[in-house]
Amino acid sequence: MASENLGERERAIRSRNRALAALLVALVALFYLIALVRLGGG
Amino acid sequence: MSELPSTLITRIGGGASVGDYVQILKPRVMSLVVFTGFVGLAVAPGHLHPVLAAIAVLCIAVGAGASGAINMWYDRDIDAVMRRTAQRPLPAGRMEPGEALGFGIVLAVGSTVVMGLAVNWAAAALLALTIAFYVFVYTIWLKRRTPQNIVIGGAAGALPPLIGWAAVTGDIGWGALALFAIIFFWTPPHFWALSLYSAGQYAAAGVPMLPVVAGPRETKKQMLLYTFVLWPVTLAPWLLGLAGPVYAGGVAALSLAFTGAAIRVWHDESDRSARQMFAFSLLYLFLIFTLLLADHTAGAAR
Repeated sequence: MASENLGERERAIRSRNRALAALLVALVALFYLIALVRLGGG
Repeated sequence: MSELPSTLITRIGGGASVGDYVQILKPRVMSLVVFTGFVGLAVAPGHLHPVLAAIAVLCIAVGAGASGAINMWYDRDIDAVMRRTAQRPLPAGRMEPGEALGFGIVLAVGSTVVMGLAVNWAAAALLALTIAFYVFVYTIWLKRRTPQNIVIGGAAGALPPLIGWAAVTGDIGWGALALFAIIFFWTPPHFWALSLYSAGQYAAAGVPMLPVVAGPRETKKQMLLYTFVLWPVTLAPWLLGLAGPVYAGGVAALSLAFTGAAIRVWHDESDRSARQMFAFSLLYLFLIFTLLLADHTAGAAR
């Protein structure tokens, strides 16, 4: 029972880490986009 | 190595899933906030680069989500008591309080800073005000103290069109204030319809919603009065030249139907009409802003 919970917890943490990584990449892309638009006079 | 007891694992925490993080952002509330914010942005005079407009809407969405997360952190004790909210990540024990608070603060600061850097600081200031008003004025100060909680606190939910407007113009115009007023006066009948059929849960949690404090009769009377106030208020965008006669005719019919729903609630002793009015109130606000957007866009094309 407890090892099942641990496995579940590890899976949750792994999927959260992936989501965080995707979020950080999206944030980098967002700032790149903002820089392009603002430098272009938008 | 021996297995850890499940109680200890629960205490370690950190088992919240990505879905739990999404849930504490209150995505259903967020969708209406995003839509009204977008309409404020779309009908404002002036022009904003489409990418910056998309970023402004994204910041409004994230800011709304941040408010929801901090609200869930603060209200986790009463959420555990109410059936409607008991399965949220915090009262259900799937997320640690600190995780929700930290997540909310990071999103609140992040959305405000990005709004300021990418769009303008007037919109960023309004976004910060909206988050602060929802957290400090509504959640922490008013919600557990007065039956007027959602009347005054409703200002937080009414601010997104102002943020959208300010993203384009850099300030607040009369048109933006008209959109604010529509949501502000719509909020009480919308929430009181919900609290009419959830009064028992609010009473158990010690939240002084109007039906709990003043009873269903007084609540129904107040709801009806607010629907009358919405008649001139919803016509204000037409009077200010933001929309044309199609909008005016449409909102007049919608307001008539909303008042009709309140009259049915007045006459109905069961929960049925209150549930119907709550569902219709969401459609009512969505259709008003859709009409405004459609009429304004059509007017701009002519």
